[in-house]
Amino acid sequence: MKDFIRTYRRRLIIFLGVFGPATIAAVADNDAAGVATYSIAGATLGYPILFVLLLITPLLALTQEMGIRLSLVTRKGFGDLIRERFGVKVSVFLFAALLVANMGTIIVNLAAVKTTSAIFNIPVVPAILALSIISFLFVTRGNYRLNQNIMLGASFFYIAYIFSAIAAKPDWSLAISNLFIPHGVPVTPEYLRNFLIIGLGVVGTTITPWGQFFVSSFAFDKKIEVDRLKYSQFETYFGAILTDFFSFFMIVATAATLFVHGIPLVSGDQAALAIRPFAGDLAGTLFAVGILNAGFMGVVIVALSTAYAFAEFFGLSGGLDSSFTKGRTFYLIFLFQLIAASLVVLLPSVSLFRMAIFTQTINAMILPIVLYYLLKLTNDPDIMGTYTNSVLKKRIAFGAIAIIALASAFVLIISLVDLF
Amino acid sequence: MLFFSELIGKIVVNDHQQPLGKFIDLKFLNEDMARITKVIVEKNNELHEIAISLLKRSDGHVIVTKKNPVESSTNELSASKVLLDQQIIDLVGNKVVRVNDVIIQDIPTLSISGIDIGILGIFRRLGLEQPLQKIARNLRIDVSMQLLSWGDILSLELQYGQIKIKQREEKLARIPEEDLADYLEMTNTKNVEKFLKTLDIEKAAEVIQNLATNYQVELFLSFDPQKAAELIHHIDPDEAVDVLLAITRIQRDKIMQRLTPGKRAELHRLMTFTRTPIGNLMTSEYFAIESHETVRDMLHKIKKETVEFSTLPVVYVLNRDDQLVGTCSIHEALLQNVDTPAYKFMVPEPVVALLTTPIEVVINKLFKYKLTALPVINREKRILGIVTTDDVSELLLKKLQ
Repeated sequence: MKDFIRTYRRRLIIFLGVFGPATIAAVADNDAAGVATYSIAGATLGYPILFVLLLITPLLALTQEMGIRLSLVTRKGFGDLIRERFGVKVSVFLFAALLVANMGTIIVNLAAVKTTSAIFNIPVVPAILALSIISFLFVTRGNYRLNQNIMLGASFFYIAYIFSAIAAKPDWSLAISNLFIPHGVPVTPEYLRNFLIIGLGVVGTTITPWGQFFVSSFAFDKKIEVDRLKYSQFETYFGAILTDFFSFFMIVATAATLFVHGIPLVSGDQAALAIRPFAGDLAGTLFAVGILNAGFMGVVIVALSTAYAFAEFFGLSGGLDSSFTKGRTFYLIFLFQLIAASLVVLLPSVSLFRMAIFTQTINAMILPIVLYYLLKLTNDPDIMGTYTNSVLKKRIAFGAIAIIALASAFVLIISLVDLF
Repeated sequence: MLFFSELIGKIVVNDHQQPLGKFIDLKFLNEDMARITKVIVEKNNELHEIAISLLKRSDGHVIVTKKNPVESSTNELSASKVLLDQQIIDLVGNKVVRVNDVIIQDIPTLSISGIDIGILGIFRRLGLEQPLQKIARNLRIDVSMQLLSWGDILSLELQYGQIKIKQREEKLARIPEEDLADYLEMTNTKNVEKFLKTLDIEKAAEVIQNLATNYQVELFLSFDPQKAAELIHHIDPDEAVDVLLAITRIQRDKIMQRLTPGKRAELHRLMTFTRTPIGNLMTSEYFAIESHETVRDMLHKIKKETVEFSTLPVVYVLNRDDQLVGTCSIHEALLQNVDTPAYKFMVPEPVVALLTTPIEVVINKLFKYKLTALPVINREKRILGIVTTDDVSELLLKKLQ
């Protein structure tokens, strides 16, 4: 019995040592743009959309696991391997696409922060500036450990949504049963159409191109040894479940209030304000705090993923543990994104709603390509040795990519129709 | 000078224009001088290795001169596997940059002479080098190449799959593209010395013969007289005379003493044969352009500046310091796109004469290399004038009579 406890204590300590990258990468998928999508999903579709959540959790876990396994086994980032295996053309194309998509994501995140700070009567310009400056200082001055811990702290703040959902007094049995079989709403053609579009939006906001790059770069930057792979794999599963656990409450909070009362939600960042009359001031405030937190996390993580990808594609030194002079380009790319996004958000003439659709479209376009390369790399025994994907994983991943590609094409068409 | 990326995918033909397949890769020896040994071509979905001794690019094709038999070596590496796109790290293990392209030179011997690590390399790989340069030229931005000389790379580490450089990253060179061949030759000459020791004397002489005169001189000054004498035996007498006249008198006498009597007499004769100063034969009627100027610029200048010329045999190409870096024929220029800069199609490392070069040697060189004119340069590589076949024909005629 003593031995048993000792073994498990040892394993727990190792796990806590590797813990961080996979959880942060997964939870950051619930950035402010993600929260907005979940809010719209809950408000428009009610509990049945929770069914999609159960489906994408293993997909998120699977793709994140591949990314982390790739970097632990090869001791290189996803971007490094794409450049070395597929050459400069693919690298430049993917980086350009990632830069555009990530800029859009950062702008959408900052936009959500802008709207939400207005709820708290915080002046917008100082709020955005403060967020950018604080993010920049933490990333440049702090080391890996500090930044990881800040992000883990931010992940913890997502429990705000749990309280928010409880305050909304939902029908718990209906919510949980809908995870397995969607039911309880009148099915109209209009509803089905929305279910498809928003459902795909939920997939797209959870499994992202930047997420694939980020998880491998961030795990690489942590310098985890390959003999700890099992623990990191476990963490990816944990992170995926945790992420969608939080998503569950976001959807429930809006489903129990806005959907039940038939209040449409056009823009996701209005959710905090919209649920107030039904769930009370506290729930609304908690929801708003959640969005601010998610916005902060999204801005930092997405901007970091671009900087990591650039350093990997073009071979520059860069990482949270490098000094400012050594990792100058890495940090400057991070800073550039913050400044550019802040400027766009503060311009009154930019339609942020269109921006959100545009970003979603670009992300949907690149995701299948990114997943294709991820699968190709993790299937290659030259690169992975004995750590290639198992046959089952390969099949599931291939099927998932096919579905996501189809879904992306669909979202693309719908968005283009919406845009013009 | 060639870039590896410009060869990939091209049809490889032998010197009889017979197609051998599609260029995929090349192999080189991981030594101080990265000699290229083979090209890998793809034909009917099969890969073939061809041992080569010469590699040339000509509109749309890669021309190789075959070498037989295929020599095999354990330290042979593949350029696309260990170089292209791989990470370069510095002495302490910091990431510096990636290999954007690989530079190939056939002087002094067919080898990989450097690595392109700049943005121009990326644009070249994307097929956008020329548009970028055009834009930069219009905006008057100086696009220089960023490169690493082969001499900066630790070959021992390369064996283990790491491209490690001998210096800290701050010291990387930025060189205008037109001076590239020259710069690489210079940095690699430092390596040549070590490398020459590993070659038999005949091979070494062949390598030295292909170097520019100023580097030959540098090398000969560092050799001990015995070794220098041995090398002189194997070098073309015309080249030998140029070198001997350019080094110090004391060093020259030491080397001459160690030559066989026959060789000594031959060289002595060449050196003192005639007292005709080359300066008297030289004409200043020559046409030169700067290496970054395009075919369009060239044609414009020819129309403006050469009205008085009796003939225009060759165009000389100068760098920003007015040093001679290449030559090109008007025919070659007319085959190019009008926006192509001269350094792209010039023949680098032109055959030259010095003011000390005996006129007999000048005549030998003119006929041996089938030139219509030979530029005479000073030690700073600036053109003083040219000697044309017309100029020497009068002299020859006199001799015949």
